[in-house]
Amino acid sequence: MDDVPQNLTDSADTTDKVDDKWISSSCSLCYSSCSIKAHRVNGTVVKIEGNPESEVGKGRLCGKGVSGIMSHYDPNRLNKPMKRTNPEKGKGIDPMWEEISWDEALDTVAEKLKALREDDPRKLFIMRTTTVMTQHIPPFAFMSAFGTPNASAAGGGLHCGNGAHLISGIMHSSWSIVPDFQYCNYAVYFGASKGHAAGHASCSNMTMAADARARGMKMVVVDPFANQAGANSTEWVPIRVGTDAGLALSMANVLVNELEMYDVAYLKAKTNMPYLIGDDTRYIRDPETNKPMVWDSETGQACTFDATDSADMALEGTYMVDGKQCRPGFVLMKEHLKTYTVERGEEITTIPAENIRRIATEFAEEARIGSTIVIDGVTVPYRPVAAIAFRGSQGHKNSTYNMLSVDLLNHLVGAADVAGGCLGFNPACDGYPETGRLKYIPHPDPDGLMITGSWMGPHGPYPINDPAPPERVGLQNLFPMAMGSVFQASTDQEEMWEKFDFDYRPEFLLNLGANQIMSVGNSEATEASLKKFKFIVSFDIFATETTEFADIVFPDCGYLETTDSRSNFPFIFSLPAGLGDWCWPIRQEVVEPEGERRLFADVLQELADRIGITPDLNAAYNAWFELEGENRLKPDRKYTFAEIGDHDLKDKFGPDKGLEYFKEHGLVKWPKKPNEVYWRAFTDVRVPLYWEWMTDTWEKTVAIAGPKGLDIPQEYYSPLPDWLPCPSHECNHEDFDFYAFYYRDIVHTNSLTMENAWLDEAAQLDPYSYNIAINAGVGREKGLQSGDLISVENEHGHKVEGRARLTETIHPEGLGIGACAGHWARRMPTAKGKGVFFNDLVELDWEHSSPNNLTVDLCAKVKVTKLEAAQ
Amino acid sequence: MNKILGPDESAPIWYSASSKRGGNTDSSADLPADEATENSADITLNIALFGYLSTKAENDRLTLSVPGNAKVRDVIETIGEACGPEIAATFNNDSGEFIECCRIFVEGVLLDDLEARISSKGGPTDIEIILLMANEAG
Repeated sequence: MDDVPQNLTDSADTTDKVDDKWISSSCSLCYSSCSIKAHRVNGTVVKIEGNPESEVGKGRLCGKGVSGIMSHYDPNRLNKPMKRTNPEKGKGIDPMWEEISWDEALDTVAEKLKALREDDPRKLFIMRTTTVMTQHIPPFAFMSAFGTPNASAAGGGLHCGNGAHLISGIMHSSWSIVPDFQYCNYAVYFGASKGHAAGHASCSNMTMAADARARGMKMVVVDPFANQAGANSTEWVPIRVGTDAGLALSMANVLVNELEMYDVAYLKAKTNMPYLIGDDTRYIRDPETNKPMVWDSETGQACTFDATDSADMALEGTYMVDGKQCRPGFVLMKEHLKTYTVERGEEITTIPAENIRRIATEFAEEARIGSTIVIDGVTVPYRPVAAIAFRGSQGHKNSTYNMLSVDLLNHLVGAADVAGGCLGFNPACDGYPETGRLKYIPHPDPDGLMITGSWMGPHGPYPINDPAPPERVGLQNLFPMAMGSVFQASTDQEEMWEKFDFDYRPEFLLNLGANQIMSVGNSEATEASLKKFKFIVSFDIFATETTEFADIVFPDCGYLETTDSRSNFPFIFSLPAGLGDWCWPIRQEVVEPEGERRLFADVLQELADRIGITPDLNAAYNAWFELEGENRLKPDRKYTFAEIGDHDLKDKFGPDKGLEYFKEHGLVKWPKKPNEVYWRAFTDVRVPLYWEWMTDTWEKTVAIAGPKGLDIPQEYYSPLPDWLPCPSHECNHEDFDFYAFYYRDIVHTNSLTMENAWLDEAAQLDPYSYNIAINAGVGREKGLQSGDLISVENEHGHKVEGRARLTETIHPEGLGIGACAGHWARRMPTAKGKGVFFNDLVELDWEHSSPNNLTVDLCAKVKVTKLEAAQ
Repeated sequence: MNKILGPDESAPIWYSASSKRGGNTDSSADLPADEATENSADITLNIALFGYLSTKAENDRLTLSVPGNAKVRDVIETIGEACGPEIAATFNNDSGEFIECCRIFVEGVLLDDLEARISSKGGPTDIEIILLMANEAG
């Protein structure tokens, strides 16, 4: 008991010990959901460790996970339903909460939801989060049952994934990408921290990345700031904020046009580079079958892509087919890349041309194009290089192309989903051996291009839907490559809705643990968007800044009070990639809910019952969980979420492996096979390096948006990726000489953990977590020193204040702020006033969003003013 | 011409899984002739519409019939005809393609192939349809 905090032992009965148990469950301090063992003594959680039996975390647990105990026992947690008594809403306005009974809260909410559904179900907007409550299916099941198309994950996606998940899905059939740590020798990180702080499969990747570095893997980190990944890198390459595509395309040019080192067989067999492209930028298609055509070098004729051997497809040349001049996509790619000389790369990125050439050459040589390796008796291609990217590089107006340009490097050398290369997270699975369930594999569309085998939602990233007149609040129908949308809270949302003749407005916000006002953008814009809702209900564990806008608050269970059958499924999300085991852990109650807390999923079931849509919700769960046979939910029965989980587990693992089995054993695992891990070599799918659909998508978008007065810039819809500037790159205002950006701090998970006392203490010890990082030399030139209170102002007048921290490890033009700090909620005293609220510098409007996937631009050109000298 | 540093041993692996396919990919054409024409008696369908569809349909529980050799696609069209254009429009995108977030269960089994044939065991066949809605950020 030595390691039990004193405040916990005070409340635990240690003299008459009847309960002393380690319980297998899953963390929820970030979305990685690492497997944990929680030590419960007499009803009190006294310690949390990683579960060594699980692949998810591999027995490790980060400081955040260990600190979960402090979030659980925080005296500021919500314990009773509340209603606001102050009708005035706004940032910082006291709601004047009054505690009410569950029945009153449920009756009030159910009555309004019932009337809303009868009026127009689209008026319900559901906001969820990627962190507080990782169970992603209950919100989607409820919205499917209710019938609204309107939902968002607040800052999730809008900041971190619109580009990353789109490209990872289209190119790797997965949610995210990572180096194959077990075999990779040379990894280039573009604004990513996989294995070093945050991200999917966080603790597993930390273990594997450390092992890889010990084995000798070289890690080149391209980032404006050498903090988490950069500080542990072999080489840190400081880059101008938001210019990653400029570097990646220059490197690709070196590979293709200078070194002439690329994997011809891969490009012919696994991409659309042999497809013939006409002068109109579109495929040459067979008039009879409509299939894309290639040039067969053996016969000297054009034919459909599936009518000849890939080895015979031409990658070079100019041809005439049916009177049309055409060239293989690879010819266009080579010509396009020639415009990205290393000198131009230097101009865009500030990275010296010779460095770009050197890194590209190292990447190309270490790729060992043409080599193979035998793993467990299976011969697979061996390409021990990977280029990965995530939020840092894709969180810009040029989101899609920044991400695609980086991934292009992998595909040029054939390093996609092969031994040592860039892996998607588990895109193919042969299924659980005892039942055959959970089987999925990427498969081709009629054009031969890859459709994902598994995805987080009902519609995959490819094929891209046709643009349609928008009906969803976020306008995603018009921008089908978007998941999250800036228009959930933008200053021009009403203008957009009017422009597109919306016949309804969102009226009711059901907030499931998200903190929109802190996680999306400047609080002025998000405050205005929240005030437009006529009624807000918030399920939360703390009375956050967004929950302060609620009319009714439901006290939610924390993760230690929750049972969830699929804490890490789909496998494409946070099960580590690479060889090892398939692993299905659950999350289970470690302790009973305190106070009057109830699990949000159970409350949604209760609300469904009260508004008369239980059959709809059960049908939605049947569909989302893909339940079959006797495991399907019966239409009229009200289930608990734990009971639904029991159905889910028996459906996937057999009748003897329901919830009771998992509660006892914690997880099920079985070995991965090389043909599953390195599936691409064995699967007849191609990926698009030439995005042929972009021209059509642009024309169709323009046809809808043009008459409404919305200009859609064509350069964002080119079939080949480009570097395109952010608004910050075009700011020439005097004295605005820093590019402000935020990074995911290693100590915290966005705004979620700021109230955690242990993590707050750690963050205060960290030199950067709560301060503003500025290059030491530049700072001194401006008369700044560490500790000075400074004002940071963007060109639109939005300002934040904080203490400067001078460092050699940031690009001279950069200004780095750990996100997402600076809380002001009155019932979060630990978090209140700590750190800097970066998002107040983020403009939320069409001008600052990606015109193809609606990602909000996360950098700003700023002016720094010294307010007060360091004490 | 590319300049790789050694022999291209991986090329055969890449090529082996992308051999030419050719042929007709219409799955119905692969069915034996007798299978494609049997079960000609009409099938009675007990249809339940859930979620958004139930808010739009005048009646979310329907009894309809389709020919004995009907496919999932025919069922969708039949429902669309019975429920009117607003419901029919929800099944397809602007290009007329079936939307992938529509889930159809036939006798409790998810069928995602529009060309799959509806089977009948003598009595009415239960059909459940729901549109799944989500955002997928994270």
